[in-house]
Formats: sequence, C-alpha cells, structure tokens
Amino acid sequence: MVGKSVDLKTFSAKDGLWVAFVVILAILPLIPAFSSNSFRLHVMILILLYASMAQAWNIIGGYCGQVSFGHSVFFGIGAYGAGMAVVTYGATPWPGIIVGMIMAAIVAVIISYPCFKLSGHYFAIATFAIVEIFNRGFLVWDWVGGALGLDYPIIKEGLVNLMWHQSKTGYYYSALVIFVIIFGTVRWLEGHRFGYYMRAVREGQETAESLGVNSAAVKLTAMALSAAMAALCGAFFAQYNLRVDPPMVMSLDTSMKFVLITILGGAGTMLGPLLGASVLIPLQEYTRAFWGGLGGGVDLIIFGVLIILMVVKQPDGMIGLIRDVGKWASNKRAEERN
Amino acid sequence: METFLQVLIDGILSGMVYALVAAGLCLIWGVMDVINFAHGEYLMVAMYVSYWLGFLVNVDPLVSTIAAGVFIFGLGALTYKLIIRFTIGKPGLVALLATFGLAVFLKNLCMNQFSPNFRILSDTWLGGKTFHIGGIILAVPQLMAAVLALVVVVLLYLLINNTRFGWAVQATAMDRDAAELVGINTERIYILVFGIGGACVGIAGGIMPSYLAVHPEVGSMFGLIAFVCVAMGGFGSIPGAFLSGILVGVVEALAGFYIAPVFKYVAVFGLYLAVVFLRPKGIFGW
Amino acid sequence: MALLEVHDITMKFGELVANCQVSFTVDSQSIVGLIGPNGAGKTTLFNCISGLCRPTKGKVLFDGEDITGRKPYVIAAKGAVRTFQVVRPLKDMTVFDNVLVGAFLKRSDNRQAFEKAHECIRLCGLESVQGKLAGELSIGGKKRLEMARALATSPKLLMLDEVMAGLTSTEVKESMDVIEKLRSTGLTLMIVEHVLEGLMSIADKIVVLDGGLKIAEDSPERIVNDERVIEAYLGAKYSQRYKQRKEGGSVD
Repeated sequence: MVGKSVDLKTFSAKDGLWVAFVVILAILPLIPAFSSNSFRLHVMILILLYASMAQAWNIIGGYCGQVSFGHSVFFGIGAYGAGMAVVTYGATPWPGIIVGMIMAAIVAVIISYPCFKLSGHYFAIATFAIVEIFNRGFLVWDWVGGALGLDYPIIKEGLVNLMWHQSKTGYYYSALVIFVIIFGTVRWLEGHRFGYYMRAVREGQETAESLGVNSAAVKLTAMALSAAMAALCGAFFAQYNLRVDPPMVMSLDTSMKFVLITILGGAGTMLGPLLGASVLIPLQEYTRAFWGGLGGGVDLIIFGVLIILMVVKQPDGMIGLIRDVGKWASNKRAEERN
Repeated sequence: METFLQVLIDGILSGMVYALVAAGLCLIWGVMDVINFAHGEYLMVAMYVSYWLGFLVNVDPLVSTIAAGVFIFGLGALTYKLIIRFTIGKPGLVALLATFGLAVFLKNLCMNQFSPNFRILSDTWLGGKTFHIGGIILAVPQLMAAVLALVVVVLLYLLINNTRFGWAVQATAMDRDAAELVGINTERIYILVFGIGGACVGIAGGIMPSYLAVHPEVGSMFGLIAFVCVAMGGFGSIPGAFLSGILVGVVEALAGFYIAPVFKYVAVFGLYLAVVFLRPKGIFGW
Repeated sequence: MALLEVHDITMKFGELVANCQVSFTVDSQSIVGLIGPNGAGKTTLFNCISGLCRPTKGKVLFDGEDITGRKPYVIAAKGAVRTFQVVRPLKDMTVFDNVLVGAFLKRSDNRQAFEKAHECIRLCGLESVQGKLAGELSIGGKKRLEMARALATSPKLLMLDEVMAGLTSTEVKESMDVIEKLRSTGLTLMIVEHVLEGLMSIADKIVVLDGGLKIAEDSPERIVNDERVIEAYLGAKYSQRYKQRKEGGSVD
C-alpha cells in the first residue's frame, strides 16, 4: 500500500509537469489566432525570450554548476551582431546573428579559461568585473556605435529582415522558434553523454576526472554552447527593440536576470527556466503597466522581495515548491486512506 | 610631476574611502563567508540619511555621519535577522542572490520615494573649501572623509584584534561549532558583525554628501569596487582590504586622468582580474 | 607481464616525505594488496599513480607507457581507474546515473552504456537502490557505488582505496566474492586496505608501506610472518615477544 502510493506520487509530480509542458507547447503556436491584444502578445514574447535566455544560462549555471554572472556579455555580443549587420552594413540580420553566436562562443572560451581556475566568490566577482569591462569598452568603441548605440532604420518587414511593424505576430513566432531550439537542445543534452558529464562535473570535479571526464573541456564546451544560445536571444532582443546600446544589453542587471529567472524556477531542471519566466515577466510587465506612472520602481520593489523570499525559503525554486506540494498532497492522501 | 602628485593624492584620498567601504564588507565576508550584495545600497541609504538630516534639520554631514552609521548598523542587524540567518550553511550563492534581492528592493524603494534625481547638499561646513601645499590642491571634504575612514578602519582593526569581543569574532570565523562549545554566543556575534560591517559603510556614506551628489544608483559602483577590494585583499583580511582599497583608488585616478575617464573602472576591474589570475586567492590570501 | 610498474616514487609535501623511493610491480590479472598502518602513505601513493598528485621523483609505467604526472582523466581513459577512500558520491544524481557516468567512458552510445551500468549495478548489489539519490545511501552503499562506478569504466587495472573499511564482516565477505569474480574476468586489482581481514586470502602479493617506505613485498603467507611487518603493525615490543614465542615453540 505504502509502496504503491509512493509510485503514484512520483508519477504525478514529475510526469504531471511534463504533460503540462507538452500541452503548453501544443497551445503556444495557436495563441496569436485567439488574442489580438498586442500587450498580451508582448508579454508572451517576453516570456518566451526570457525563458530561452534562462535556459541558455541553465546549461552552464544549472547543469554544469558554474554560476556565471557574465552572460550579459554574450547576450550583448549577439545583439550587436544583429544590430551591426542591419545598421552599420545595411544587410539582413541573419549573417550578423551567426557571426554573433560564433563570436560569443569564442569570447566565452577565452574569458572562461582563466576564470574557471578561480573558486567560489572569486569566480563570481571575476564575472562581474568582466561585464563592467565589456560595458565600458563598448561605450567608447566607435565602430560599434559607442554610447549612442545603434538605432535601427525602418526597413521592409518580414522574415528576411526579421522585423515587423504592423503586428507582433511575426516576433511571436520567431521567439517561439528560438524557444523550441534552445529547449530542444537542452532536452537532447539531458539524455546524452555530455549532459551526464556536465552534471558529474557539477557534483564533483575530482570524482568526474577519476572516471575519465575531462572536466575543463566539459566546462568550456558547456560555456561556449551556453554563450552562443545567449547570443541568439540577444540578437532577437535587438530586432525586437530596434535598438542596441551597452546599458541595455551588457549590464549587471541583465546578467542577473539570466541567473534569477533560472534559480526562481529551478536551476538544473529543464522546466525551471520556463516556470521562472512565466512568473517573473508578467509580474514585471503588469506592475509596470499598472504603477508605471507613480515614480516607477514598484515592480522592482516587489521583484526584490520575491527574490529574497524565494531564495531563502525555497532554494530549489518553483520546481522544488511543486515537488514539495506534490509530496504533501500524496502524504495527505495516504493519511486519509489509512 | 606636480600633476602626477595631484592625481596620486586624489587617488589615495578616494582610495581610503573605498577602504572603509571594503573593510565593512570584508568583516562580514571573513566571518560568515557571505557576500553582501546590498553593501553598495547600504552606502546609498546612508547617504540619503545624511542628506535628509542636512536638508530638513540642517545637520552637517560631519555630524550626521554618526547617525548614518547607527542607522546602517540597525539595517545590517535587521538584514541578518530577516534574511542572512536563513542562508548560513547553504551554498554561498544563496546569500549572494538573497542580498541581490535586497539591493533591488532598497534601490527601487529609494527610487520610488525620492525619485531618481541627483541631490546635492549645499552650505555644508566643509563644502568647497580647499587648501594648498606647494602646487597641490587638497579638497577639504575629501580629506576629511579620508581621515575619518582611516580612523574607523584602524578602530575596526583594533576591535577585531585586541579585544575580547574581537577574539570571539575570530573564533567564530574559524569554527562556529567550536566557538559555541567554549561558550560564545555565535548568533549574537553574527548579528553584531553584520551590524558593524554595516556601520562602517554607513559612516562612509554619511560623510559623502558633503562632496558627492546622492541618487538611488550611487551605491552600485561602490559595492562592486568593495567586492573587488575584498577579493583582491584576500579572504577576510582587513589590512588586505585596506591596502587594496588604496591601490584601487590610485589606479582609478591614474587611469581616469592619463587614459580616459571612462576607463577608470576598466582599469580597476582589469587589475582585479590580473591579480586573481596570478594569485587565485588575492594578494594577501593563502 | 607487469601491467603497472612503479619506480622509485618519492612524494614530498614541503618537508613532509609521504613516499620515499617506493618501487613495485603489479602483474596482469593478479590481485596486489597495499597495506600499512595509518599514515604509511598508501593513499598518497594511489594519488601519484592515478594522477591526482604529481610525484616529486620517480616514474609510473602503465601497460608499458609512462603515465607519470598525466591528468587523472587521461590515466582513467587508459584503463587505470581508482575509487576514493573518503567516498565521493555525485550526490544529486541517482545511483544509476552515477554508474552511467563511468559507463560512458568507453561507450558513447546510450544503449550500450545503460547495459554496462545495469551490469555493474547488479554485480555490486545496488539494484534495490538504483533510483535513489547517491547522497542518500548508507556508507556501505556508497562504498559499493564507488566500486560499481569505477567498474563501469571497463578498466584494465582497478585500484580500490579501502572499500572495505567500516563494513560489517558479512559485507566484507560479499565484497571479497565480488573481487574474486572480477579477477576471473581478467581484471587486475590493486587494493589498499587498513584492515587485513579477507585481503590475505585473495591477494597474490602484498606490498607493505610504513612511514612512506616500502618495507616488504611478498606473498601473503610470507608477509604475515615477516618481522618488520609485525613490528610496523604491532610495535617493537610485541614483535620481540612474538619472535621469542616462536623460537621457544610455545604458543600457549
């Protein structure tokens, strides 16, 4: 009897979430057909974008356990890749997106190689330092537009220019494609050798090495992959906002969003980033819309409190919360039966 | 040569204030292994305390710096009671992210209440006063802040190394359980350490409005610089944090003057990276 | 033919000499026991062989190839795999996933790796707990996990660091059976033990360390009667008494 209820519990907690995820995936493509509200679509786009960003970070930060606060650098490189292709060279953003992703991966490897030798807080502070250095560097770098940034011209809308003016539907589907690419990659990784190796490195580097895992190579590969994905999100961000400048993309606050959404949802789990973004982004956008006129900041005040509560009370994130509730419910069910 | 000396001295003066901000963070880091991400926001709050005391009841920052120190002592103790207490013994990241939440909260609370405007306190006792040694100009407010910072850091050092309380703090830092066993109330030590760490940055922030504008974002960069000083100085070493504070101030001033103002922080953070890549535990770390 | 040759290994940590000019060989498909009192330098020697430490002096040859100071994962990939005395489970992964990480070393294909992991889990008697998180196992379970994980890498030489310490007599006996079984499949084993129970009956050769020096290298039967070994384990006084008793022929 006890054994059976345990089985039921593990079924409902884990597979229940998966069923929900698949259902959501099935519904997502249909949303624009039902909702013509442009603000609601905007919120949906941001949820998809931030969930994808968090998932990109999750590869290195969650699965591989290397908590980087430097991801806004890669996000920024991606944004500048697309921005410069369109603004500086008058081309379509596509080659810029590809170059941006490759550049982000290369930069990630170069700066991570020495950083991975640092431990704990020293590593965290080094990643902060790198963000600040890139931020200032881009502010004075004329070739990338300096402090003025890059303002997109109004050009023909469509997939070729990855730009839409009439409605947000095009952006919505683009974001959905990015979301599927990044979540699909992580799903694939989870079940393959590299995914197991990443988690082994997170749990114990020396142990992993004693089993033949080249931990330095695993970490650098995971970082490169994560950076390229972050750059992809950055490129979309630039296309969506039609503007890039250093504080917008390469800032500590942007870096923190990658980390916080993932931790809030549940780091090292595939559904965590989506859960985190689904809570945080609507909160941010609706409070901003509601209180926006009143001196601002109310959304971030609530956000701050929420972070404190969540991190202190439930470090496993919302996934942990759902798991606990599931456990509690099944225990209660078992009690009632007895 | 004279210009160089001028820049150097300006750097040392601002470096001493960094040293005080860093010393507070360093104490907390050394004893609890916690990075307080809201440290810069403590400074910002202290500046507002001092500013409003000056603006509303005409108290000079020289005096209200004490009030700011006490206020932030309370804020620190409260932070420990409400947040940090629950993160002890969990991975280091937990405390960092929780205090990041606190930083976001404090920054936006001030933004919401006081608006993002820059506020400058006019008519302070020291405001605008200078004196000259040879060709070098010393701004009195900055000089006063540096002297105050030096005094407070020395007092902090003596407190930790030469008093019974300080020994209890060191014992707690080394091994909390063993300290409990010999009868030290480590919970009280933690509260006081967080409070004292806060008081240091409170005093630094309290005197700043006599020469620096107050706004909600003012603390962020100070916080980051304090992290750099502490990490560069080595885990929990107050003299280390002090020396790196001065070093950072000097590097910042030289780079700002001789390269370009925008590069001053690039130089500081570049220095940090260079130091930890060569010595992964900082200059004075082991 | 010797699978592992250790030549004149010296390992110093500052002034402390943990190993001093230790040499021995491990023949293919044999079981070699490495014993010695606490602090004799057994684990340090293991660290030098498995690449965790770079020896101050000396050479390690594995399968005829110099592996001195190579990275641990390189040595593991060549087929010399170790376990840790202080167990190191990958805590937040399941027991099965722990073993799977080992299995992936020689197999990138999921199906083959899964099969190998299942095989090793069965061999080490972990089937009933394979879905549990490794951090939740009992100490005996964690020791068996160490072994299963190392086995899953399909090593040529398996180096076990005190896998039997702290186990009950029944558990020790079970481990011995597993080790015997492994040898019959062609595996070479090097076993560090502090406790000698059991080891003497299965080892082909025993190497004894004391104070960083190799004091004996011989068959188990000869080792138990070796004066220096008895002295190292029981102290000089007991050794004298033992000798007298033996010479007097009276074992009251």
